[in-house]
Amino acid sequence: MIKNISILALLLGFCLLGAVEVVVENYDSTVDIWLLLPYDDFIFGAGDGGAEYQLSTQIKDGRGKQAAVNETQLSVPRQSWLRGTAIPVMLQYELGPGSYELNLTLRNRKLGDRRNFSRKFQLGTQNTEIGQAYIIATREGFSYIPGLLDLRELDSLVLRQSFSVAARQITLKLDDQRVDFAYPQSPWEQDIIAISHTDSLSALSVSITENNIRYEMEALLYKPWFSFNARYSAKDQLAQLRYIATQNEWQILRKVPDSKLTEAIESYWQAHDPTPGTLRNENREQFYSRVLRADELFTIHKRLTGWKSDRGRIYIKFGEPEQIVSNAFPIGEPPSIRWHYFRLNLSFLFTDDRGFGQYTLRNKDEEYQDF
Amino acid sequence: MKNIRIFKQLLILAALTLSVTAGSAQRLNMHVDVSRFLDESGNTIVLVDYQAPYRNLMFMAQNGGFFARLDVELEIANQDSIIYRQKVTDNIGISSKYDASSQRKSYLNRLVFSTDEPRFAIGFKALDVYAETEFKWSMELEALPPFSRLSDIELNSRVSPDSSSYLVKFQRNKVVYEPIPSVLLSKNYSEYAYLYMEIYSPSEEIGSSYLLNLSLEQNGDLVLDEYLDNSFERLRDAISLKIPLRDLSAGRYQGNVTMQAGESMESRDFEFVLTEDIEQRYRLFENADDEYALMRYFMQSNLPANWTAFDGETKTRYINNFWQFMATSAGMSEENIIKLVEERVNHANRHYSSLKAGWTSDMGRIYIRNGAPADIYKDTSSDATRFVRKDYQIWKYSGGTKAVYLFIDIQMNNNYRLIYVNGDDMENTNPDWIKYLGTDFDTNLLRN
Repeated sequence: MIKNISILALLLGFCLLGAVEVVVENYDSTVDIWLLLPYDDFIFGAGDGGAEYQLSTQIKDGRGKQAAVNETQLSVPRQSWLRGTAIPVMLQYELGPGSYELNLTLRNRKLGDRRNFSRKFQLGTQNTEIGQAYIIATREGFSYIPGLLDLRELDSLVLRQSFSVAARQITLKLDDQRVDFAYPQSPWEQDIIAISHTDSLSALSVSITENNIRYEMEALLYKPWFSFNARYSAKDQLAQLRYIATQNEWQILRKVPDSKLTEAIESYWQAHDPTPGTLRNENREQFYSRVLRADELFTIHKRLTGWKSDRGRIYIKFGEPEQIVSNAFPIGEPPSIRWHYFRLNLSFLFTDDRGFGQYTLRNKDEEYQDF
Repeated sequence: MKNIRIFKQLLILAALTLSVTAGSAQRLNMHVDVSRFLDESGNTIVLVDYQAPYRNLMFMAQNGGFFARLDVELEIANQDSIIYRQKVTDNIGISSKYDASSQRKSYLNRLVFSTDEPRFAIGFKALDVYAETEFKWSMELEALPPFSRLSDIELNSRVSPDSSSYLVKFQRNKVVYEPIPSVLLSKNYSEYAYLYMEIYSPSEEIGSSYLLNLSLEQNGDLVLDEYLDNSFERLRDAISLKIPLRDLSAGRYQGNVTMQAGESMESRDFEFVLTEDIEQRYRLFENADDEYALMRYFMQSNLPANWTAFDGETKTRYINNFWQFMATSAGMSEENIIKLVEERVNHANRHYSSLKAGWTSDMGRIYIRNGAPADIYKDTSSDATRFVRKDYQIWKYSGGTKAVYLFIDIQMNNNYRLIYVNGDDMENTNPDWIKYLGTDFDTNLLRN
């Protein structure tokens, strides 16, 4: 049953719904479902100043019975300053423990374009301890999740944090500035502009202290990985996990039936969450960013995608190399690139044997050595 | 007659006092204890044991767990010059957040140094990096004389065989001696106070005998006085004595070990505080055997070998430990896990009781262990079929191994018996289960 609907974004266009990121937070009285819709995926009619969308949401329980349904109108303005941001929509429901499926339909009311999105999620008996630290900027009356912490020309920049733990303190770290707030109540909101000493921040982190346990996380800004689930199928995501999963983990993952892939991937990331208690999974975000960056850097064409290439694999596993030495026009041998990871004492040699840019790894032994 | 009295008691008192006073704002509350032994050359080996209760540390959620960081610095000074300095960083990790507020769990470490100085000062500093709280402690100490026959008394809360690398610093001949710098012993968790000491004898006295006297007083009243007649068998001998705590009442105890060999006599004091946690009793049933029957629902193979031989206090201790283990495994507090199981027991009693309490029935057992099933299929016989096929229920769970259970009301008295199970290693299927249901039973109903 829908209890309340809070639309943080009201405004216009048409869109690619698949890129939506869904965050589910489970608290005592309600389940908060945050839909983070990348602005760059909305589509606008020629000459239109905005787009009108209809957002339909339906939640089915484990037996396929409808548990909640809702319709919302979205008006998205066409503004250059919204590029690289996401539009947040927060829905609140009363749902019991169990497995659910969320079905979304986003329809451009003028152009007729219709996009569907589906996502399964599970609710346990335990509450979300620390939710995401959402940063919501408002400019010219429109709310969005920015990509950068630029405070200029904003009406407000609000940090919204929900939690179920008995927090005795929230500490915000704004670059070098530190501000403490005692005994906050969930959901907790603070306008960053009101406390910041500067117009632009490079980092904003939140730490919540519960008795003698401290949870720390970065504020949630728009990141390209918001579109990760849209861009890669569950099978692709599983294949990507092979790069970083241990042998034992892979033996389990490879046997998972297709219908359970999404759950298995979720379980994998839950087990590799570096900050227990918080919804944020820094390892997952880093992995997603690396996959996307590998695609951006090393894709040759549609069938030779970057993440599947040797360089992509090394990039995903070890990150940005600390030094790259290339030999583009050697005499009598193929072009080669050497990546150095001094911190890990690793070095990888890639050669372009066929001469069309598909560099392959020559020293595979190095990749699997125990560092 | 030589009578060498050492400052051990004074030292423990100093540690206690400092521990208490150091608990104020921006100060870290922890415990330090020092024990002195002799090496082959007659130098003094000093063991500095420190103990930081988890509840006094700040834990950061990171790397898949909760971690505290303690920067420790030990300085040994002779008059104005520093003769030894050691810096240690303790990364203290726990997997359950509830351990962070545990009343009894603590971090324990040991620093060791050797000196030939007759007198020296120990400076101990520990910084909780995340809480930015600090503990400081210092004291003057004399070395054990090279001709000493008896070491200090090291108080231990646990002595057990263990050859693993866990607590390797506290191992002696593959036996772990777990010291307790706080000198706080709990009757609920320790059966004995263990005393470890070393006896040193000159080579010419090997084979001669000595008398060891262990005495214990509470408020000036002698509560224990025992003698051990022994002989020097080697140049260095280890002695471990244990004091049963069962019959002691809670309070502060002063103890003394005196060794008499020929004309010489040496004496060492020790002290501990015995506590009894009355409030920390985790239990659903008054009767410990009922509680054990309930606990068995959750135990797979690690059953105690001789539950019936346990006395009441041991049973209580076992029950307490069980629920604490359950709480840690489930990532819940002890109160919450008890509350959860209690709710399930009540539900079982309301819905599955027949001639016996609902929680003891097969349905009750499955409900208590797994909670409510995701799906229940009920088949109720009509009067016409009443004497042919019995009522049955199929319970299906959606999580984990997707277990399926089939219960049948064999005697038609609401006492449903489990006859078929799939996806649960702790239960057994009756080999003749299909006979109870008849040949027309649709086995597709058991799919999950």
